[in-house]
Amino acid sequence: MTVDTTITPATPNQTMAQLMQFEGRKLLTSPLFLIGLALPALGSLVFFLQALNDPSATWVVDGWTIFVGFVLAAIFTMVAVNRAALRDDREHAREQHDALPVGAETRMLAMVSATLWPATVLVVLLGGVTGFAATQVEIVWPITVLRILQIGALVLLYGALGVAGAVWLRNAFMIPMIGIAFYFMHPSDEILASWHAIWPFATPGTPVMAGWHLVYLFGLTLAFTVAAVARTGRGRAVVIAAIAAMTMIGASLTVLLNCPVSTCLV
Amino acid sequence: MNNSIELEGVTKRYGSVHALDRVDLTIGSGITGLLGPNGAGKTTLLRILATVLAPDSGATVLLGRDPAMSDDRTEIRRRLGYMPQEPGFYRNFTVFEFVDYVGILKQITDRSQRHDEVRRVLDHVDLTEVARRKIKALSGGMRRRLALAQALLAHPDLLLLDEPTAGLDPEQRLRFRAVVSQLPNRPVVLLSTHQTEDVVALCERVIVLASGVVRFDGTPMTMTEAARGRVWTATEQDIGALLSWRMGDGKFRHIGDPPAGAAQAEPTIDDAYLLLAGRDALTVAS
Ligand SMILES: Nc1ncnc2c1ncn2[C@@H]1O[C@H](COP(=O)(O)OP(=O)(O)O)[C@@H](O)[C@H]1O
Ligand SMILES: [Mg+2]
Repeated sequence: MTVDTTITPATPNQTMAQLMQFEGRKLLTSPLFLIGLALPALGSLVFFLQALNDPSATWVVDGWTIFVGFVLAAIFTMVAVNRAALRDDREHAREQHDALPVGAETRMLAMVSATLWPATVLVVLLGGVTGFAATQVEIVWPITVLRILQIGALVLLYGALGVAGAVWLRNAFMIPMIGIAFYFMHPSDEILASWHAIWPFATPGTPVMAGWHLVYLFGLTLAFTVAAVARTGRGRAVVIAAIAAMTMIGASLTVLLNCPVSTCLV
Repeated sequence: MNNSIELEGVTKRYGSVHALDRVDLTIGSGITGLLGPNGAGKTTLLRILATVLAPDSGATVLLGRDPAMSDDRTEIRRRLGYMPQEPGFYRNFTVFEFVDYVGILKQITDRSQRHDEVRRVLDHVDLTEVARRKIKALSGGMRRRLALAQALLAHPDLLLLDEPTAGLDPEQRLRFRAVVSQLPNRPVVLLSTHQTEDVVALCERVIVLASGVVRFDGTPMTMTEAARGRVWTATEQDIGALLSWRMGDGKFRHIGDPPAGAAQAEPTIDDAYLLLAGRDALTVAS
């Protein structure tokens, strides 16, 4: 018996895209992400109800509270993606997947990229909340837009950290711990104000500085992505990405750490 | 296209244990049984053929390519189906999702083509009805069929099955045989087992492995014939026999070197296996 078995061969990019979609869908439906999403959603709801009844509500305070809820969602996403990246170890499936043509580095890169899905969901949600808030209270626009984008950047950064953690630490314990540490870690008010600017959650006070802060977050994301794939794949692209990451981090740190106190305060 | 595998002097050691000791084999299309007791080196050999383990020394050519070269290895993996002895499953995935995921990793990128292929292999192993069920809710027999299904994706030219019938009940075993014996395009199928019935039922060729060494290579019939003249029965136990046991009719069946005038018995493949695998098989049997 003979059957036609021709299957359209895939290019690496097609495989990447399919994997990314698959992992993205899994992430969006993972219980951890949904719990994370529920926190800012609830926080936003409380704000809506309060803002509708209380004309004295201000975005400066409530906006920050809501933002913190989104940061928590980013941390939950990190734990979710870390668990996803560890499932071969957890389920003892490494051996059978090693016998498949797609390498571990492609799968890890797809995992990092898949955090674009939760990042988009959270950015859209925060955008919606802010848009609604704008009809009720006064909002300083350019910086607020950057802050909304910052949530997306934070999800990507934590996603990359979650995958890099899975690849190098190979256990499911460390990343949640790092997440908790991140959440409570806060630069002391005693130290130089410019140090606040490199705290991932901080939003520097001017649009230009906030923009540099985004560059800084994207640089870190790229660095962790390189770490996530470099264990098994060391091609030229990885080296170029590593150089790009170092450049972005170096340049943004130089600007952020030298900014005048008045513009870099959170 | 070169559909065969060749091994020359393949050796793999774990500390002082020779898991494989200078194995030379050429295996072509059709179903070949790899028979051997636990610890014989079957899994080690299949891992090497699945490109997940490199031998310490020796040469391997799989489907005309060299697994030590990165590009060749990827090409081999595209045409390979592997069911490990202890397959891992993503318990929180559905059956369909899991096979779909493996399909992506096998680089079947066209979504609808891939989904068709997933449905085909699930249907082939009779799992269509549970396709939407989470893997953690499957029975052991269903999981083994799922492991087989993922190995069958994209019609591999080289299909490696490590003890695929272990833990299956007789009916499931029969169904498994039906699936494997009716694969289209005559791929190279290498099936490891320590059960002689599988070999008789399925394999055109059998390789007996014990202590990392090939002890026999031929058809199941010639293997059985190799025991002719080395099996006899007697009313008393013969301590000179390699192995003996009391049968239902009260007589003793012996294998080994018969004394003069012994009542020769018709050999079975089990007799031949016990003779070939020797002490290794006995420790497992006891
Ligand atoms: N990862 C390993 N580490 C140490 N020893 C191993 C390992 N894998 C296999 N072995 C040893 O190699 C020999 C062959 O094992 P294996 O290939 O699993 O045999 P089989 O599959 O025939 O039961 C056994 O003695 C086993 O203990
Ligand atoms: Mg084994």
